[in-house]
Amino acid sequence: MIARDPAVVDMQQEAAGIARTLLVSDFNVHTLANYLESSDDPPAMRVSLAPSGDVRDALFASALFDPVPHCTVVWTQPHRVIAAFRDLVNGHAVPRITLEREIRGYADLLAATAGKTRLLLVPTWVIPPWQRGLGTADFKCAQGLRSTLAVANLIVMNTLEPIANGFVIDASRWHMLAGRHSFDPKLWFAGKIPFSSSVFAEAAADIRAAFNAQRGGGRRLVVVDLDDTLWGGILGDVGLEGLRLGGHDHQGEAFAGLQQALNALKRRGVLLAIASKNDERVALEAIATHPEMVLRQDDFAAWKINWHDKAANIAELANELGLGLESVVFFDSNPVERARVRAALPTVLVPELPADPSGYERALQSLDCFDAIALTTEDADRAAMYAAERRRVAVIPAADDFDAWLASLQTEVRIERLTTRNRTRTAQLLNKSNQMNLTTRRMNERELEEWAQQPDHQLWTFRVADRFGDAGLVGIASLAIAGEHGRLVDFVVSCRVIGRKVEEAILAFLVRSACEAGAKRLVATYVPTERNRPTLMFLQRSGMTQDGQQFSWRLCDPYPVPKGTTVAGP
Amino acid sequence: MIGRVIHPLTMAAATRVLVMAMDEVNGQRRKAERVEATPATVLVGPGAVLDSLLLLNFLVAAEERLAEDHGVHVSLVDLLADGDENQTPLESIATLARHLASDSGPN
Repeated sequence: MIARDPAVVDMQQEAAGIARTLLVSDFNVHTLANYLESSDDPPAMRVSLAPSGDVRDALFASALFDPVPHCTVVWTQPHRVIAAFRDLVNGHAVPRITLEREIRGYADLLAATAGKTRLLLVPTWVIPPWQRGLGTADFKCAQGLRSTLAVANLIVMNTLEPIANGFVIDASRWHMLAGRHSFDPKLWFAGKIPFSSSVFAEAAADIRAAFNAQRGGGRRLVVVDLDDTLWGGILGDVGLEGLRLGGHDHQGEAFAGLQQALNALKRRGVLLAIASKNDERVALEAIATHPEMVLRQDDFAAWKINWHDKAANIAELANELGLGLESVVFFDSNPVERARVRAALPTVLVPELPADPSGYERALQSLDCFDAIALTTEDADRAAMYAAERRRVAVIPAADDFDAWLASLQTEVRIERLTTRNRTRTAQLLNKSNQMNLTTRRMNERELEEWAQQPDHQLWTFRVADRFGDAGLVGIASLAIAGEHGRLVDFVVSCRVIGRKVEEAILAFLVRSACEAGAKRLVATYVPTERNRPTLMFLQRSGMTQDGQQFSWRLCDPYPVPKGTTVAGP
Repeated sequence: MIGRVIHPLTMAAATRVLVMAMDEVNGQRRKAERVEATPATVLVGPGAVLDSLLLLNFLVAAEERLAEDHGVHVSLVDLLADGDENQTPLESIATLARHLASDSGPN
């Protein structure tokens, strides 16, 4: 029996367990710690606070970073952490070059800190609104507080930009949401707490969202209603001409605004679908022909336009798109439908909507469940890929049998090593994929790269294209060679291409690679999760020998490449 | 003057403000640790439901609500400096509400 990689076990435990969070600050952040620990939503966060004192000392202290925190937040005040900025606040003339040098030094320290934590979050520096600096000239002069602060924040952003797990997050948003009392001098003087509780509540929400985004927990599908949600009015009652959408009408503008916001989400890789009680033919015609529609049929990955229960329709849509219900947001102006879906599908996020449609766009844009830590080409092309999938599936009836249909697709699997070009997408896929995922281990870009560089480790990515389109980077596989055993560590395939024999093509490549590396047997240990049963089903039909959760293949026997599939590279 | 209320405030209104401030502070605690605020809720001394940080946040939240909802400007945080736990209006929500109402004149 092959022992499971301790790293895999660790990742699994972390995925299911408690998130260790380290707060490093030059002010009292106990309120933030309270908000982070008090949430009842997973993951449970256990917060440790760096000792008060010099933040730089804390960032150098290796004991604070052992064990490696899942998330480290370094939140400082500019006048406390940057001496030159403090001088500026106190009215001294500080050469810009001196100030920039000190900020760069601090930013470099932050960049080094990213190497000691899974996720580094650095809130932007802000100053209170009553601190007017030079007033009108504050953005014009090198001695201006705000011009200096803008430069300072930019230096930190630019320094962390190439650091895959280091992020600057926007603290000014928290202050705007918290209102005019967001800076609280009394809390500062009484408890060294510079901000009101509302600021910390907003910060805690953003930190959780960033953490979830890194773990691939973001929502990936918005299911929208049509009548009084995507457009104003009931299509069946008022007809196409009677719909309120765009034009010189504030309500029509509001519905068009929501469509623009949905379109922007789609361009970031969030899929759109429709669940609407309507006549399908009439509704699709309205979508195709209404002159003010922003979204058209090809913008939607799927739709259920019928008179059935919406909860059932949403479940079917998610299933059709290969997504779990925890990936779904349901957006509907009707409170009865919202209540129904909340009750029937508790893992679907159903945001409350205001009665006034002018608040819909804001309600959508303020959701943090779409937060991402990177944007890849695959994200931008996702809607087009699903449109290609619709065309692909549409030709199935024309094929005599399934194998003939598969062969007709002319699938090409291109193999690449992990490189700086594909690293971001690879980490994203590794952290998002659930269904075809052998071990569901989660790693950030740096960890992934470090793992792949180990002498006995090999990691490949797989791009898939066929005559209907390019699905992009949709597969990852990795091997750890230990003597005669080639142990399959990662076997990840996007649900977008599952069932097109891509899994078999990847397995054929892995068998060949393990053999070339000198192994005699390929071994895969299935680590069950709530979502990865399709992986087990694939392994069971793959022809590999099963022993409990372990599957193996004798490498003297080549694994057949599926008919009609071309495998190229690396 | 410490804790001086400038505008009139009824006992009921003061209690409502303090209960709402307690609800706000409850957001910083796990569900199981949240307290249902009543006039009898003890704020300082034996049986107190808040640690020093939460008490500070509670008083600041109450100050903000008093100012915004009632135009009452008062520095409750100053009461923390009084020291004597047996005499302080911070003993409970009821005593603090009474303090606020009595300082605002007859109800």
